[in-house]
Amino acid sequence: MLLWIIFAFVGVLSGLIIACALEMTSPKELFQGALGGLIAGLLMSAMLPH
Amino acid sequence: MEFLGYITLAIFLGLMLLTLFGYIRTPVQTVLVLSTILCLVVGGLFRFSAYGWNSVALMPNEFLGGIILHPITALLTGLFLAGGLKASGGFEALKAILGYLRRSPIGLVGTLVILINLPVISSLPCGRILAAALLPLLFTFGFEGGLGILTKSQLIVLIGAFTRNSMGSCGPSPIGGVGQIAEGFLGSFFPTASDGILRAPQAFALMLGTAIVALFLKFVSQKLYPDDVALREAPAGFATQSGGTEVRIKAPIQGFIALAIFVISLLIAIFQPLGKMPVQSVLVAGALLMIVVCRIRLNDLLEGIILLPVTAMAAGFLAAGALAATGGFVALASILNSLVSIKALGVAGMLAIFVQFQTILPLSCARILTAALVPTLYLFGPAQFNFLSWSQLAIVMAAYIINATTSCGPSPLGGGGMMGEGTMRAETGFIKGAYTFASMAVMAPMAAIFMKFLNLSVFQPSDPGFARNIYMIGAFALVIAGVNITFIFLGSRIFNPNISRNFFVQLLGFLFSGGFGGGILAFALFEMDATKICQGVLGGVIAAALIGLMVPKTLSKRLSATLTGPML
Repeated sequence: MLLWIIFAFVGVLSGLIIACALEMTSPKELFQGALGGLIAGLLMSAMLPH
Repeated sequence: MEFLGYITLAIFLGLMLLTLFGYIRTPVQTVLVLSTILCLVVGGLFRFSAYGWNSVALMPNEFLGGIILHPITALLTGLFLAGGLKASGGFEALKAILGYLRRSPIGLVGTLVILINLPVISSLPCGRILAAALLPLLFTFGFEGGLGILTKSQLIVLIGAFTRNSMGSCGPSPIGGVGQIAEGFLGSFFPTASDGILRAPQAFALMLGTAIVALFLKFVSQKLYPDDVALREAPAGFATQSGGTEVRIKAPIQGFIALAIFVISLLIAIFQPLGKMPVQSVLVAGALLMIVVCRIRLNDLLEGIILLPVTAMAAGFLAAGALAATGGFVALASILNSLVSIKALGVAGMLAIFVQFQTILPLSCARILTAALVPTLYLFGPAQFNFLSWSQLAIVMAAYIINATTSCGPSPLGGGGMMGEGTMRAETGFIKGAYTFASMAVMAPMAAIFMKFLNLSVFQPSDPGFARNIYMIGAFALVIAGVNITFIFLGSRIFNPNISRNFFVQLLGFLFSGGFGGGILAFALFEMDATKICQGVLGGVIAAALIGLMVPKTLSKRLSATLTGPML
């Protein structure tokens, strides 16, 4: 469970940073970036040994 | 024998440096084979004169004993399967899925974030596989690619960040990844290390590091080298003229089937739900299924094999074997041991330098030096020098491996980052600052923290001494990201048209971040020991100086001159 949480966290964090780097900084775009990051983090976690 | 070790180590490092600085213009694999032959000849002569013929006769066994076949065969089968995916249209299917995602509620930016992180999620044995398949797709997002959705600056960030993620994804790969070399050594203590003890720390660090690379490319690289990317901005009104129409990517049904077979094979290889079996067998079975179901040819699968990482790994193992047989590693360990005796550095300072070794000396494939240097790192543990306990060795390995894995990105010797530079039409060296900065300042310390506060307890749950604290990992992630983002923003504000001044500002940023990273690594190893943390900071600063000084001050203006000059 901890691995899921921490990868969801880093996914959201990296999603927000990438959205800023892509100059997509409206609240909607930041939310979408965070959501994309969350999905990426959860997918990554699913691929790891727990 | 010790004297011989110094000679062979000097031959190896000398040849590597000459190649890196462009004095030897042959593929690095050839240089490694040359280094192997030279080391063996010198070693043979030395042994013959000192110990007689019997000692020389033992050399082949000692030399070949260092070659580990598992990662080589895993890499070959991984590439074999990826070849099938490519031939059956699997990558087209992936592109179509990304197209659907873009029209979903996560929108363009969410899709781009997933796309950037796709390499580490899929964890192929070589980042070049996915990069070769998807970089042309990323290019289409720009004006010159046809869609015109992204500006030049956005496209640089997208391509640079995606390539960064790709050229680090081979580390946590369970199918012949770079990390498996070190996991084999950690298996001496952690019984299940080969299940992937280094995967999660690497993946975590890479995801955060990729985001920092995106920011660095946006705020630093584009300001330092404003004229060195030949991509063009869309002319005003381009979107209106084209009507904003988007070509929907269509993929054959075999592509979707092949993608499903690929994912299922990967999951079986990772999680072993059918019982313990070699990764290679699973991948070959998957490839055979692709041949039958998707009607592809064996030749298609063989075409997927990229020789560079395979030969790099084999050449690296040969060089490592020659060094091992002639005492080169013992000599290297003795040199590093002598660094430990310098009071200002100590073990913490020496390790802070050592974990950055491959970013200091970036070669075309991380496996070359990893195969040669992981045995040396192993010697620092209980196996020989006893500087570190097993858990500390695992923490250092995590930091070392992610730093090593990502080193092919900024390598000017045909490194993977050059694929990204080519796609964004940038001069060689454009991405080097961003890539080395993130590896040094974010990924290495973050992987160490992750290993300390979570992964040790996952792989050794019976030991109550291992912490399991995700709050600490989260706090460190925020602090490391926060500090480095601050440096990036500050740097971008200070830059002006003076190239030398900008280079100095950037170097200063490297030194601060390197020192910070070295301190965090020392904390992960020795906790709140102020002396050790100071030593780590000093080691980090020294490593950062070596890395920062290698970042180009200015890039060649050849490309832009050609594009804007009378020749055009």
